[in-house]
Amino acid sequence: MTGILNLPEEIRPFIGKFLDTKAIQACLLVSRSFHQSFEPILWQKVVIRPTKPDPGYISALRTRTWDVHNYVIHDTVASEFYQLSFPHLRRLQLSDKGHEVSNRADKNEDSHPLPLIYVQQANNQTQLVRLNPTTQTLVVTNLPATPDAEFWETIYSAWVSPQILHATGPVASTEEAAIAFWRACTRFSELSLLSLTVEPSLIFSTLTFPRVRRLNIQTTSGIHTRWDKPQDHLALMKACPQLKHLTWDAIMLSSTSLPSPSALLSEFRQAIELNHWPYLDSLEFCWLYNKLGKELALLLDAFPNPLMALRLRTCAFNSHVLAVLKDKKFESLRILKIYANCGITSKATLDILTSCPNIEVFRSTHIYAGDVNPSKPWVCKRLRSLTVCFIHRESTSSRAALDQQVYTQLANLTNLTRLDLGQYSMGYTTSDPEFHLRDAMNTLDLRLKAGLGQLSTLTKLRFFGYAYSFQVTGQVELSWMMEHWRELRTLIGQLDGIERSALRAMEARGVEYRLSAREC
Amino acid sequence: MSAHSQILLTSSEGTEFIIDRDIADKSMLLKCMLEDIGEIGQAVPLPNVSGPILTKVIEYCTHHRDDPNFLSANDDVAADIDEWDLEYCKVDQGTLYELILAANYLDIKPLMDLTCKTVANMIKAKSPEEIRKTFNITNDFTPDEEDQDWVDEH
Repeated sequence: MTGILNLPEEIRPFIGKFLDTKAIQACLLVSRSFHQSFEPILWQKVVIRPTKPDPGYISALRTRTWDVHNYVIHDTVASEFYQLSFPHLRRLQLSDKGHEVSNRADKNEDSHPLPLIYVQQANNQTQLVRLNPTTQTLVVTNLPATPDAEFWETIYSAWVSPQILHATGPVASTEEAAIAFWRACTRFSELSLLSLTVEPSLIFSTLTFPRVRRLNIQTTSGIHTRWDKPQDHLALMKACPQLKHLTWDAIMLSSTSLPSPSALLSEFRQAIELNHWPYLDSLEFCWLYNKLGKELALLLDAFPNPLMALRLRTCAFNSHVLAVLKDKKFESLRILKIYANCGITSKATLDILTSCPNIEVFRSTHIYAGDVNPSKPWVCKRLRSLTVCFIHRESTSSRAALDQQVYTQLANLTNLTRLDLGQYSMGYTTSDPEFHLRDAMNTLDLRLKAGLGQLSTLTKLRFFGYAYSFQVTGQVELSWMMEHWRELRTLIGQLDGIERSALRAMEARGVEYRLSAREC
Repeated sequence: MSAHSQILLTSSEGTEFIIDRDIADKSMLLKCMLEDIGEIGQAVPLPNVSGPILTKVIEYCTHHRDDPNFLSANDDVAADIDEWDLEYCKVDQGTLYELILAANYLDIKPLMDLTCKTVANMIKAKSPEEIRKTFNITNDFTPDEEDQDWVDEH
C-alpha cells in the first residue's frame, strides 16, 4: 500500500502549494523522512526584499533553485538575485512602488543618457526573464526600470508556455518596446492590464490575441496614466476572439474631456450584438454610472449568449437592468456580485432571491428584514455563497418576528458553504432615507435566542461572517456553531466573553477566526 | 445526438474498460495519444493503473464530462472543493495516493489538484503529533534534533 512518503518527488509541489507556512513547519517536525520530503516546500515560494540581511542566503538559494516555483522580488535588489535560473519556475513577480519611474516620467529624461544604475536594473530584469523560460505567470508592477524591447522580445520568443500576465504601470520605454510588449501579449491566455502607460499606437490593427480567454482592463483612479484612449480598450477587446471573461473598468469613459463616450459604448454594444465574442459568458464592469447607467441595461439586453457571471462595481443597477436579467439571463446566471455603490435596492435583491433559480454565488448590499415575505420563498436552492446584510428600518416595531422570518428563509439554503452577513456598503447607500446603521438594533440579531438555531440546517457551512454589522456573539453561540457547523473553517465577526478553552478548541479544530473581513 | 467514438482501455491486471472519446479526452495523455494515432481498434494499455483505480478515475471524468470550467486554471488555493468532489475523495489513504499517481500519469490536472488538496487538508491545522497519527508515521528524531529551529523565515 502506498504511503504518503512513497509518493514521488514530483508530486510534492502539488501538495505543497496548498500548504501554508504553519503547516509546513509542523511537517518538518514529524519525522526525519517527512522533514526531508517536505523541506523543499519551504523553498517553493521565495520573496526577496532589499533589506535581506543574511549574506549566506544567496548561496543557500543557489543550491535550491530546483525547488523554487514562485519567485518574488520587491523593489530593487542586488544583481545576483537576477542571475538565477529556476528550472521549475511557474510564477515570477517583480514589484516596485515605481518612484524611480514616475520621477523619470515627470522630468521626461528619456532623451538624455540614462544613469548607469538604471541601465543595470533594466539589464538585470531582462536577464531574469531570459533565464526563466518555464514561467507561466508573470506579474510586473511599476518596474524600477521600464522594460526595453529586449525584455518583451525574450518573453515572446523564449518562454515555453506563458499563461497569465499582470502588468501595472509603465511597461515599455520606447515605441519599439511597446510593439514588443503587445507582441509578447499574444502568447498569453490571460491579460490583466492595470493603469498601463504604454502607447498602443496602431498595433491593434495588425495584431490579434488568439489565446486570450480572460481580459482585465482596469484603471486605478488617482494614478496618472497615459493610456487614456478608451477606444484602444475596445480595439484590444476586439482583437481577442476567444474571450470568455471580460473585466472592464470604464472609468475613463466618465471623464467629460473625452469625445463621445456613448458612441464608444454603442460601438461596444454593436460588437456584442454581432456576437463578436462567441465564448464570452462572464462580465465585470466598473463605472457604468450616471450618464452611462442606461447603457448597462442595453448592453445586457443585446448580449446574445447565456450569461454565466456578472459582477458590477459602481454601476447603476436599476429596475431596467433587473428586468433584462429576469427576462433573459436568469436561467443561465450562476454568479452575480453587486458591490456597494451600485444603488441596488432591498426589493431588487429579494426579487433575485425569489426568482433566480440556478444562481450559486450571490452578493448584494442589503435587505430590509421587513421586506422579506414568507409567502414568497427563495428559490435559489443551489446557492453556495451568499453575501448580504440584513437591516431593520428605523420604524420597525416587530424586530424579533422579522429576524425569525429571515432565519426561516436562510435555513432553506442548505447548499450554502459560505454565508456572509457583514456590512460592506458603509456610506454608499446614504441616498436611501431608510438606511440607518447605528448599533446592533439595526441589523439581524445573531444570538441564539433570536433564531440563529434555525440555521442548524446549514450543515455544509464552511465560512460564516458578520463583520461591521455591530453584532456580537458569545460563548453560547460559539458552542452552538462548533456543534452544528462541523465543516466550519472560517469565522469573522465580533466575539465576546469567550472562554480561553473554547478559543483553543476552535483553533485545534482548524477554525480560523478574524475580527474583520478582507474584501472579497 | 451524435454517437461518441469509443476508446478501449486496459488496466494493469488486464481488465478492459470502454469509455467515450470525450471522457478519455479529460486525460491529456490519452488525448495527445489519440490525436497522434487516430482511431485505433486495439486497447490502450495502462500498466501503471489498476482496475479499481481506473474505475474511480473514469467516474471522476464522467461526472465532469460537461463541465465547462474543467480545464481553467485551478490554482485558487482558497476555493472550496465542490460537494461531489468532496464525497469522491472520502476514500482510504492508500486509494487517495493511488489516485494522485494515476492523475499524474494520465495528466488530469483538476483531479491532481483535487486529490493533492485533499491530502493538504489532512495536514493543515494539525500539530506534528496529530500528523504522525494521521499518516501512521514514527517519530525518528533524536531529542536534540527536535529542538532545532528548522524554519528560517524568508
